[in-house]
Amino acid sequence: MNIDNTQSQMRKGIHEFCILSIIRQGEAYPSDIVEKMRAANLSILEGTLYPLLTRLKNAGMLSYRWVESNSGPPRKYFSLSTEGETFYKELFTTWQELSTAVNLLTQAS
Amino acid sequence: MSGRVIAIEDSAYTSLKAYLESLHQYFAQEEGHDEILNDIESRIAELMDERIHRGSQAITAGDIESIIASIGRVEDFAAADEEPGNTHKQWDNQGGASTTSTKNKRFYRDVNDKIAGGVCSGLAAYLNLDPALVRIVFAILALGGIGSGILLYIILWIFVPAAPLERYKGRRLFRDADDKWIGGVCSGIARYFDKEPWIFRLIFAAPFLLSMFSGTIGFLIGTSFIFGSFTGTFILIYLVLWIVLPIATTDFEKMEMRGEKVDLRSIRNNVMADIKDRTSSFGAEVSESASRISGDARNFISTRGRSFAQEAREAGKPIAARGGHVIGSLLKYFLLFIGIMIAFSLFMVLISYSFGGFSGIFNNFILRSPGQRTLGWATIILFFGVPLIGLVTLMVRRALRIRTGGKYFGMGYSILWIGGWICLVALIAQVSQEFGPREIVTQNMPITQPVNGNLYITVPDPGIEYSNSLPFLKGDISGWDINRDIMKSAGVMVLPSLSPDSQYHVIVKRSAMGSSAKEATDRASHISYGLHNRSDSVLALDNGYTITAAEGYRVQQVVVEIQVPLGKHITFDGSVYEKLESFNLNPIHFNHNHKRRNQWAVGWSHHSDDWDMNWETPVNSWKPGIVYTMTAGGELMDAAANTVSSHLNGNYHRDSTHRVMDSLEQSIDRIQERKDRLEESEEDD
Repeated sequence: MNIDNTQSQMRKGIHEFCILSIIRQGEAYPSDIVEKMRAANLSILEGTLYPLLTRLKNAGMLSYRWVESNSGPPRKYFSLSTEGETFYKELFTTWQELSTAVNLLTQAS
Repeated sequence: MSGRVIAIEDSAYTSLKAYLESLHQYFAQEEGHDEILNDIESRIAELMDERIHRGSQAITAGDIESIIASIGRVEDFAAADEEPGNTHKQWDNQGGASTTSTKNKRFYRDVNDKIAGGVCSGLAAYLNLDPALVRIVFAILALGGIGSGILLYIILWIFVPAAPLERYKGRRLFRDADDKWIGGVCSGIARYFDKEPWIFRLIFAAPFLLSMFSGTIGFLIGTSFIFGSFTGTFILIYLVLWIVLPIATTDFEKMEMRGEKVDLRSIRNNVMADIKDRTSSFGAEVSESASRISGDARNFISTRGRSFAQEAREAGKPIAARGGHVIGSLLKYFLLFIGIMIAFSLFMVLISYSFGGFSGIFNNFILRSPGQRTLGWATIILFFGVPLIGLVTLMVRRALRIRTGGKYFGMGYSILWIGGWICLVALIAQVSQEFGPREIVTQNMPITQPVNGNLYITVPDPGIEYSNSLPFLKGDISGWDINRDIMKSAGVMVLPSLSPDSQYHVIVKRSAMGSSAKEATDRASHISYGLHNRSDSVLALDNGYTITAAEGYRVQQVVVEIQVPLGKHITFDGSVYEKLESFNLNPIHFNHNHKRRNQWAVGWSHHSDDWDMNWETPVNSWKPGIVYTMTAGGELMDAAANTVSSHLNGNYHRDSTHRVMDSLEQSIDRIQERKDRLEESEEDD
């Protein structure tokens, strides 16, 4: 068994939720999101992030707006939509159930 | 980039381009891939801008590297992105759509180039070899290694995954379609090695030809064992190659067949270099795939089993078709081979008949009229020659691949050959008619009565020897001579019998066959054989009888009957044994009935039970130099009162036993004598 695979699988499951959390806190653009994730010790590749954001946007969970910048090309700033908010809330409940369960199980062993 | 112009170094530009291309491919199936790519491009541009602002004149390869690292390589996405529902292409570490590096090539089964399961071609692709060579190795393993090759193949078929692989680029071993005698195997091999095809044809045919000619004319019987087994092996190798090697029909394949110069060293070098690279990585891959297999075992087997069964079924059809094709061709060529054998034997007959003197004998002594002779030649030409010519023509046409006009050839030859059959039948009918009734001519020879009551029989003239007058027949043959006009035979039978009166009589019986009784009688009387008295008690017989070519050979026989009065004696000289009947063409043993003694004419009929062909010699059972006395029973008795039968019938065996016993007794006597002499001399000492 490859531990890296397992670990990345575990992380992958939580990426969406984390990204939505970040965006919920405020409008963010991709590299910003990457930095925040890294700061929280949950690193993600930009190449993985972009498709994820696009998927969420296409699903209607996110919306964005273009912001011109003086140093470089215009950036996309993502924010949570109302459906995204609902989506997030459900995910948050799931996360709570998950963490409780895992804590219970790990303490038992 | 994103509508902006950025200064960038050449090498950096190349890697950037490659990276963007890989991204493009990776996200190709993704929904909204244009957007994703745009986003990533913008990000790259942003990063590059940063660097420019920081003071770089242009983007370097190193900058690109770090940019790519921060965004992430495609392989990393793939590893992190493996889950169902993703529409990315399955992207393994080897980068399937990008150019394959030789260092990391895996062993797949080649879907594009498979005869059965593509195992051999996949292995060949892995080893960078011509698939045909790998197939040959597998075939040898399968046939020679108690089928272990087949087992190995099936195991590989099941467990090795399939993939469409690139075609092998290099010199390939094909069968040559343009220059094929049987299957094009030899010429294909020749093209591969840049040699002439006849060399390889000779190699393959050598054991067979050698075994054929190692015997003499009787090659069919005397095939040498060593050559025979080599023949079989070489034929088997040829068949294997025929099945396994593909045939070069397209121009491209023919080019491949002729390829660049190839020698065994370069092949070995190629294989060795690649193998060294791959063994280390292959080892790692094997352990990895082994662990993966054990994890997926159940799922793997069920899906694999189903697809394998289906593949096997599908593969079976072309294999069966190909095998059937090969078997069909094999049958064709087996028949051709039989044809060649027949042609060869016909050829030998033809040769021996025309160019030997055999035709002379046949024509002169057996066929007598010009009409028969013509018929004989026609038979030879049509019956033997036509099929021979036909077969030779067929083979030449096949070899030169002439297809036109075959229909008329076949018909024409068949008609001629039927004509040959007709001639043959007619000839046989005619000739057997010549050998019709047998007639006997008896001649009472005047002789002087021996005064001492013992008639001594001798043959003074030298024995008949073959004078080697015929060109094709050579050898030491005694008792028979022949040339174009005359045939002589020492096959004269001498028979003593009881005289009806007190006088010695000698009767010479000549017999011959003919197309009619009269002709037979004439012919019999034309046999020349004579005898005369040397002195009053010595009778000299001719050394043999003579037949002329004009008379023709019709199984002539001569019997000299010597009638000895009761109680009188007769002695045979050794020359009688040496010179007469030493080569008896057709010794006749006939059941001689005492009561029918005077009806020998009747006894000379051609009932089959009277014709007892016995090739044993000597025919006579009496011994030279012994004075025999005629008994009342018509048998000869010697001094020791042993009777020797003078007529030849079933008693022959008893007589021969007597003969053996007598000679044993003689030997014992001699040993006894010698022993006595030794004892005497010892006593003397």
